[in-house]
Amino acid sequence: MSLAKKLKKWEAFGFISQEQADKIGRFENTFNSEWILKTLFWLSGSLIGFGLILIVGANWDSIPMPIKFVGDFILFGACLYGVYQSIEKKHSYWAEMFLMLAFLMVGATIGLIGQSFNLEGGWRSFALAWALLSLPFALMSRLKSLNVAWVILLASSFLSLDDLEDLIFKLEFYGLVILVFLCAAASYGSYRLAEMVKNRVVLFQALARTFLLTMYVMLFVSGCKFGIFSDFLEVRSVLAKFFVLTFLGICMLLAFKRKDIKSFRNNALLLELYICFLFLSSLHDMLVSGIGFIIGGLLILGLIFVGRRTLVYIKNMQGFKKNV
Amino acid sequence: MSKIWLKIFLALPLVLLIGWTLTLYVYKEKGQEVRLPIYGYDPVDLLSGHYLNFTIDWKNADCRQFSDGICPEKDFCKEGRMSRACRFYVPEEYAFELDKLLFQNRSSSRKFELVYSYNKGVAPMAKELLIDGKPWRKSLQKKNK
Repeated sequence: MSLAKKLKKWEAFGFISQEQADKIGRFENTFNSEWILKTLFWLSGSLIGFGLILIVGANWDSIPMPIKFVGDFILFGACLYGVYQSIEKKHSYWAEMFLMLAFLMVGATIGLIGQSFNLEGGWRSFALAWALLSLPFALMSRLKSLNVAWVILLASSFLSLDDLEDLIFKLEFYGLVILVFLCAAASYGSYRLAEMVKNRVVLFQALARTFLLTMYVMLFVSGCKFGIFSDFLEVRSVLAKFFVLTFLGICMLLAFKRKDIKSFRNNALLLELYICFLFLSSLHDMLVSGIGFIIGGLLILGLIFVGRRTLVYIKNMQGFKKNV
Repeated sequence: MSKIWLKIFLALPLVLLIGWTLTLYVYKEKGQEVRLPIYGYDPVDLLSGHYLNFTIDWKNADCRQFSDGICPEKDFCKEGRMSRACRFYVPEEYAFELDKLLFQNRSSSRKFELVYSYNKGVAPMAKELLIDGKPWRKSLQKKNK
């Protein structure tokens, strides 16, 4: 339901007056246009930065190397000046644009150095140097997207796609379980760090979110690889199913204690999704038959229905109502 | 954050990059020049552009160029799956032509060599690609005339 419709409904029930409805509507519209403006500034910085990276990549022969370096350092210096001035004058949008540009210019400059001096070393050493040198910009930015990009960049310097593939396909069940707990601990630690600095540094929040996402991915990988795509009656298969269901249940319990309705709802939906997968996997070969397709389609409809009812039920739960 | 600390924090990456560039330049210019024969193939690195990927032909290399008369094979290029892989970055517009020439090198009589700046204890830096003893740009210009 759109905000305008909600405001009309609340006004009709007498929760708010017309004046209040108008004020809320004006405020939300301003907030939305601010969000759009911020995104456009961020987008322009990203496009300019990626454009510079591509120019470096083309390695234009007509421009002598010393000129390329001087030009690059002058541009970078100008960008840093832009960051400084924007921060001093409290122009947050310009600051975010210049910070994004500075972050990408570090990558472009390292690429130029690598190209000019024919440096060896693959993506990992490049990514590590880029992450370390662009850390000041990630720390100063309030944009989660820049901080998440920085976290992914740093992670890619330690873990290649091949390593990730090995992790998912070659690691045993207990290895994945340990990974899930390690990610959970790292996420919790990062959230605590973010709270300690009173969320002044967005990087810790980005780290926490990345670890949390990785935790859920590893959980589902273990649940699917050992719980679904393996022999139904095997001990490991039973353990995997039990682990996923219990872990999500514990997440829901912790969310309920914290009165975190969003986390409770997300974990509840994931639990329902996993149960749906379990049921689908029990159909085995029948799943790829005509009956299987019909059952699959009906299950998805059922999942949507159950999911919506779950959301309504959670919203009306006593434990969360007190918080409102 | 005070103004001075903000300036230092912002300037630090730029200062480090300039310092790194100058250090590499000094090593490149002051190092001992060695010429080594090569053969290879051409991929693209998204962030640094096109480069020739090649292997040094140590069997035909003149090891007398090195101070102790022994070719320091382990100092050159990083370990790949099959052998040690080396890089030389080239402008986009010449990449295809050079790649073709380099790939054909094994069957042709053309001599491909790379001039390195070698400093003991520091990774060697590729300075120039030679085709039949001439810098690659001159060789391509002569070929295209």
